[in-house]
Amino acid sequence: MLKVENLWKQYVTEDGTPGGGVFGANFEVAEGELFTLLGPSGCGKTTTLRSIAGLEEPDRGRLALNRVDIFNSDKRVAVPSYDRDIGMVFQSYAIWPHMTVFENAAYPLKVSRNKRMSAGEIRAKVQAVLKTVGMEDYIDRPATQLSGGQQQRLALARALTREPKLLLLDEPLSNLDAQLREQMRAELLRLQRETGVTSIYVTHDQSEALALSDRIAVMNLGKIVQLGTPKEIYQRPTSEFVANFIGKTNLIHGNVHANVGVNASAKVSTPIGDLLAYFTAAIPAGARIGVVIRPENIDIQAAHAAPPAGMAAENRFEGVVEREVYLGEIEEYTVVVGKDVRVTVRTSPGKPIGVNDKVMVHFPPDRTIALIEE
Amino acid sequence: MESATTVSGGGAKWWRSAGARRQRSSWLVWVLAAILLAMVVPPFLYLLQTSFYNRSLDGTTLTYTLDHYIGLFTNPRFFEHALNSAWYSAGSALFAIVLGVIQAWIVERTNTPLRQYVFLFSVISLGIPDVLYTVSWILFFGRSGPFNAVMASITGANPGDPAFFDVYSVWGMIVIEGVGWTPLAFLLISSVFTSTDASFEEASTMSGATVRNTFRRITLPLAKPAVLAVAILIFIRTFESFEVPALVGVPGKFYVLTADIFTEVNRTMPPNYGVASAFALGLMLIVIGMLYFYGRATRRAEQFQTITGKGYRPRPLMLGKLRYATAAILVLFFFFIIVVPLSMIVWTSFQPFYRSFSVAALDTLTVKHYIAAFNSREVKESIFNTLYLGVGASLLTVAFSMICAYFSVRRYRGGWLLDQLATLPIIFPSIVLGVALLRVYLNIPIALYGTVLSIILGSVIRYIPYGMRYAYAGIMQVHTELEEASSISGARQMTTFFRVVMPLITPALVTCALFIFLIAVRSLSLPIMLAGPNTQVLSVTLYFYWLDGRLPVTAAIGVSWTAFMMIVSTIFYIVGRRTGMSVR
Ligand SMILES: Nc1ncnc2c1ncn2[C@@H]1O[C@H](COP(=O)(O)OP(=O)(O)O)[C@@H](O)[C@H]1O
Ligand SMILES: [Mg+2]
Repeated sequence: MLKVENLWKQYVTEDGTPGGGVFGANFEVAEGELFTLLGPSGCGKTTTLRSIAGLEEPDRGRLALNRVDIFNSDKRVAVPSYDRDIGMVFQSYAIWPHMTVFENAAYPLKVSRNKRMSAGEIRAKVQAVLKTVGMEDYIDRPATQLSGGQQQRLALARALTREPKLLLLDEPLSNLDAQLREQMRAELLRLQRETGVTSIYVTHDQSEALALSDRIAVMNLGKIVQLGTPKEIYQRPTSEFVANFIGKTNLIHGNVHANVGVNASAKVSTPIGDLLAYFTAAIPAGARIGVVIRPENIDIQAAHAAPPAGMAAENRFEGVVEREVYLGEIEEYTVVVGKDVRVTVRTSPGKPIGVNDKVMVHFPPDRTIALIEE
Repeated sequence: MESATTVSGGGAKWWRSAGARRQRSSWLVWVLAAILLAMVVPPFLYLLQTSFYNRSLDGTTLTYTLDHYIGLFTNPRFFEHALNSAWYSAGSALFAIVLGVIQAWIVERTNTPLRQYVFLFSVISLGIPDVLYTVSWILFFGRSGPFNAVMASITGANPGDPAFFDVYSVWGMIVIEGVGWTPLAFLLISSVFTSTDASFEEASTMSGATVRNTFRRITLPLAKPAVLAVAILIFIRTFESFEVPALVGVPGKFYVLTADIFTEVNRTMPPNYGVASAFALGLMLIVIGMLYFYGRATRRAEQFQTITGKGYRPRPLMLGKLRYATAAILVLFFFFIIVVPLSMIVWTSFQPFYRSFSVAALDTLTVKHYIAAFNSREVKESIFNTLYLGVGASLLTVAFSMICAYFSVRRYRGGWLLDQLATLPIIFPSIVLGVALLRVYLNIPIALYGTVLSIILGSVIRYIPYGMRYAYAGIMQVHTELEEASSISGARQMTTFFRVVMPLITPALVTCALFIFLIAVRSLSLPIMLAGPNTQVLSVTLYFYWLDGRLPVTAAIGVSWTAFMMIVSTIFYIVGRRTGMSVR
């Protein structure tokens, strides 16, 4: 539906030196999909989004919407923003203060040049859209009298009234407080599913991305570093950056002795001994490896207890509990394995394990991911 | 009312409102309030009293009378001149706003070359004293000035014909005053452009609106209240202005209210204080009425200016070849705001007697006026008086407003009163304050009449509202917790104020002091009412030299003084940039 090819945009800073931006992004968004750009602040998410919107002119690359070029540096095509038929929700909402709720939401219908509608039709359409976002009771209120959450809903309604081909959302929840954010997140998901509008969602919050998206593109330093479903991204990161950015993780250094193909399991030698790990990328023999494993995927039990039936024999190590932190719904242990490798383990609370206890930790081989060291 | 202002909203923050309810208090607040009252109330009361009484010829007995007011309403002069004032002010405000908007738009929204220098020259132009500025424009537009000479050669007029442009007319006044306000209009309007979130416009584009539609439906309506507020402000300040009405209006027989007040006091023997006071109160009432509209317009404008912090600087409009045309416009502005006025007086100061630009006149260049000026005891005294005035007024105003602003920002008991009282003097036009203070000084047993100190005190009253705004903004930036951290560390309140608050707000105060120095020494209207024969300040000296027809000497003094002031205003520009304090 939307195709982004080799999108390149570099800013020039005030003193003339080249600055940040986005450097060669490639991705495709399918019809009806909720696609997320995720990454730390300054990684180029907004730049990508604004390039798609036409608010920023890329240096080069190609953007096609339903197979029609909206931007193509080779063919010198650049459709202006107002002709792209793309809706956008801004981070600051950008609700016009000199208009009422109705006027804000009706604006796209009034200024649109291709679909002329009568006043009655506009009113009916706006009422319907305001209803879907729960703002129908505020239709004649001046925009200056809206709360943050209401502005957010109105911004969404305004972006949807025109039934755009594509909806862009730039960190739409970041200006709301925690409670409201959760509520709006659920609402957003419901609305997207109901309307079926193809959407690109930008956020730096990994839990938001995991909860909402059909697919996620993780960005770093202006490049897309991994693209996949939330599950893939979380469970099979292909780089240390992604593993670290999406949730807490353990990292153990090591190396491999033979070539390993992609999506295969192989032994990695580490300071604590050999680890059977899953390779998300092909790695040549002798390469330095980082093994990552999430704290909640590690099994822990007292050293003297018998291992549960069915637990694989590999990847079991003895260790000593150095620290124990009670976090409410989970308990977090820091375990020293081998000489001085510290591993964080998360488990449901209530285990009869305390500081200085000898424990057995187990890294399930399919959750133990080997990556090229960065 | 007091407690209502201190409890912060938000039900969940019980811990905060509980703390805030216990309001701090200090006896100093009441002392300051009393001082402020003493500054504002007596001038007003004396003005009121003077307007209702007649003094017998021997000056001993006062009799109650309504004559001054009856005179006001029966003599068509008051209304005619009020209308003149309005006409002249509206013209000047419109002139300045149009030029200011064009400049601000070019600088803030396009990729025109040279645009980054417009701020500098706008601020520097504040260094030219009002009198001198007006004089140079009179020379430029005068009968034998370069403008009319060029126009005559274009239209092919004969030497005896009337001039193409008569500067001694309402049009001359509007052009001179309008150009004078252009730098400030530019500074204020460009801050409107930068503080309006660019995504307002982008949201419109994303809704499918074209560039033209966006400009018409979003950009313009959003900027309207703020531009209107600036226009009203300039209208008010022009309404109160005295320099151009005195130097251009009076010779051109176009009289406005401020000139009338001056004439009744300074050009009538014996001074007609009663009529002047009635006029002054009338002028004040009109100003108060306009201030009300100004307040409404600014409140509406503030609603529209949401600085979200994460807002993008809008992509400037790429003008292509057209950007050289816009650059030419900026150069033209530079020319009219700085080059023309300066070159006129510089030229004049080096001529033995006044003559217009010509190659022949190049042979007669002389520095004798400079030598004469610097050898004159009168001029030297006047320069020193001016420095006393500038330094005294700015230091006193800054110190006083800093303490007032502190109590007000930190919401001490009665702090809001300080804020209100310190803002109150804006209802006094300079010339009205001048008359009122004259009445005060003449009637109190302290020998203030005709001293430099009296001008300094007047200036403090006049400029305290400006000082307050700077100090207020500066103290707002100092988070309360910085002070609390100092208290927890064991510092007493005074220590905290001097060791934590003061150092943090010093940059803001320096900017403020420079600004007040600049405006205090360039204005004529207050000093001309208050200065005695031996305590003239430079603006007054320049004015009288000009009236006496001693033009080249006027120019020589003016050029030297302006050179000094431009250094001050450049420092102001640099410090202001660093501290992020805008010019108001
Ligand atoms: N208008 C601009 N001028 C110069 N640099 C910019 C501009 N906008 C963004 N950048 C830089 O480009 C990089 C990417 O910015 P952005 O796309 O806003 O990041 P994100 O939205 O992921 O936080 C950052 O390093 C930022 O500093
Ligand atoms: Mg961003």
